[in-house]
Amino acid sequence: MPMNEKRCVITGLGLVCAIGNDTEECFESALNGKSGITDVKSFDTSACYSHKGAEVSSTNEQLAKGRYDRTTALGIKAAGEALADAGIDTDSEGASDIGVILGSCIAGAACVEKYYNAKVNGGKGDIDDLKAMPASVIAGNVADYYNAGGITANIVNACAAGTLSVAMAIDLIRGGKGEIFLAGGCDSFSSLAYAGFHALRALAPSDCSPFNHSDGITLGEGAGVLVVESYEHAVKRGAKIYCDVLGSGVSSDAYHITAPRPDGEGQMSVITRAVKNSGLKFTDIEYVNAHGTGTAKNDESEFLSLNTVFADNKDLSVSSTKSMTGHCLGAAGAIEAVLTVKALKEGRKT
Amino acid sequence: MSNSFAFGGNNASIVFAKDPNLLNLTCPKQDLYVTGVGIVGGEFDEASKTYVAKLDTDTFKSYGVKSAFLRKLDRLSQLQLLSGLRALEDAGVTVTPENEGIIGICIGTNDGPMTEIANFQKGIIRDGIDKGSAFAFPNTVYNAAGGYLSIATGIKGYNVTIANGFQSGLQSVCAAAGAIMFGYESIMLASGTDECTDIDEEIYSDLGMAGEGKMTLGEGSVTCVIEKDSSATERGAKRYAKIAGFSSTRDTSGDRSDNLRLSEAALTKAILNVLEEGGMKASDVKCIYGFGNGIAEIDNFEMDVYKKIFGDGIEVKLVKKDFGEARAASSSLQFAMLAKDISDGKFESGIAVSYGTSALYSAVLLTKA
Repeated sequence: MPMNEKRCVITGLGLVCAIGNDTEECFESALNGKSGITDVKSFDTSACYSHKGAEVSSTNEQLAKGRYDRTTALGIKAAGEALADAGIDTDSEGASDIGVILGSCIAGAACVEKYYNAKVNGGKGDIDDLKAMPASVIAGNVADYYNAGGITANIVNACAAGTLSVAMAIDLIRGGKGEIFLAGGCDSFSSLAYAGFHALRALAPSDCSPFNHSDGITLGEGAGVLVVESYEHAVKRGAKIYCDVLGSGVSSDAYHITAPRPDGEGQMSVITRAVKNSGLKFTDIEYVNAHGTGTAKNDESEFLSLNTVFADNKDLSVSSTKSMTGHCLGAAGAIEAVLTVKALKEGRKT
Repeated sequence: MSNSFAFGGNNASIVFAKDPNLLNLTCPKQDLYVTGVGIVGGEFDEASKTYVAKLDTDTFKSYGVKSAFLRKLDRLSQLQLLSGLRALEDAGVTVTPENEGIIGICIGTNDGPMTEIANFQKGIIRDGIDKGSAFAFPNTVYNAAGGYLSIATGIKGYNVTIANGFQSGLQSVCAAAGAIMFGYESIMLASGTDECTDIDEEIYSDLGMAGEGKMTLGEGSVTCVIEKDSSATERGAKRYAKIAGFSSTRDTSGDRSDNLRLSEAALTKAILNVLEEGGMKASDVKCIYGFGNGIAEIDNFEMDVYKKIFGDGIEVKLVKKDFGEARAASSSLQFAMLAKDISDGKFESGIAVSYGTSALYSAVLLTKA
């Protein structure tokens, strides 16, 4: 199999979440500490102990033309911004080579709710909602929306899905399976996830406060999409380059289905892998956009991991933007990647 | 740097840099082999007219899986766990503290845990949003099966779950191969897993794909152990076949990916790509493990493409008549059976082909080890 020593760069960004409808708005909000967390509007939470969420104000129709599940609609919105930012005309021949790798945790949860609301209440349920439920259709529909004809994949590794999608895009480029990808993640606000985290007693009673109160998460929704491209491809078409994406790490805790290892072993392993794969030293890293969910278990293990791995890096800055965006599940890693790239480009940390 | 940690115990980190002055990123070519196969398939059930897998606690016990652990797993995760354990056993791989970090998992699924999702959603609609089950919720997450497999075996390397239509099982092979080539791991478990659901029956009946004279739904899980040459040599592993090429191509003629799109151009391109990657001619290939699922339109479309590329002499083998349409599991089974046929000396080389609702066409070329 052909393998290439390809340099991968970021040439476009797209973002929609509770703190803004595009990358610039979200980044400015994050710099100014503007939170998108409010009382939940999508459904009734009066029976719950928490009522907070970070929802996107736009309707599905405002996000995408046509009928899509909200998760896909969010992905379409962010992908459109990323393509425009990268200077790609989706009606041109060049778009046919673009691959789409998107992460999601809950996939078509809005359609799940709509369909079963009808069924449980004695109705028939709309077959189109049923077809829109599986994660399998997200990347394909985003690709079709923009005439993208490269490889598609839906990465469904829960809250790590968005980060994994960017990692996979790099691997595909370096493996000679494509030159340009839309990579990121999208997830909608849903009663399913809210009820689930409520059942786990993992929701913060008020606005989440990662690495501070650490008394739970606040769920959010949104999408982050990055145009990941080989350096040669970007230069050839005269694209602006935000930064390089050097390397990634992926690992498993092999410990518990919902809780991280208290000793942070898995987290240390993945950070070490990513830094090693990038060719950098731990002291080269200036900023970490942490997972920082706001649960005691995550924050304790992540704090321990970062302190251990970056023990010699006294200048390291760490933040969690989930305090403003909420935890957007499969979109979280992608949203945070977009904010990290912006911070790197602008020289200002969120 | 940006970090993400997730349910299922999955961790991912990524490093960005402005104007880096290093960049000596090498990805040496590696020969990859299939060194283990684990299959869990269904038997035809007259009542449901589907292929249903039998899962009993004694089978799991024989692998040291405790009942208390097994009870936490939904059906999809149980299918995945069993095929994963069988594949490790077949490959002679024992997970130890020395190798736990260099073994990874890549799972492909069409539907994921749709049964668990549907049941959880129905429950909260019926009983209230504050009455969700903390026990059931983790199993609504697509990567739960991969997480449980990691927990049960102690595998701590790369872990990814891909949901991308019927061909997800083949795409998992491609992703697993990539994970080894980029030096992430030495050994990868590549799986396709799907369970029978009411949802499938409803969707495919509506699409006119299920029912009398159409496809017969099934369930199962197939895991293959993919391993780099040096690792297989060091272990003295048996080798079923060598992965000589893989490719995925996409049809762009439609505007929605919810439905299957038949594309001669995309299927042809995927096959030609793997032939080129493997340095082979069409005349070198004597066997195709095809997608064919009993729907005349699909079967005829596929046969026409194979005849155009390979001529009339090509042998096209189909697994679904004995396994059912188990979506991602079926595409993994095609790959596994081709590897076994090559190992048994039936063919020198062959291609497994699959496609699905994402309009993606995948092909993997296997040759003699």
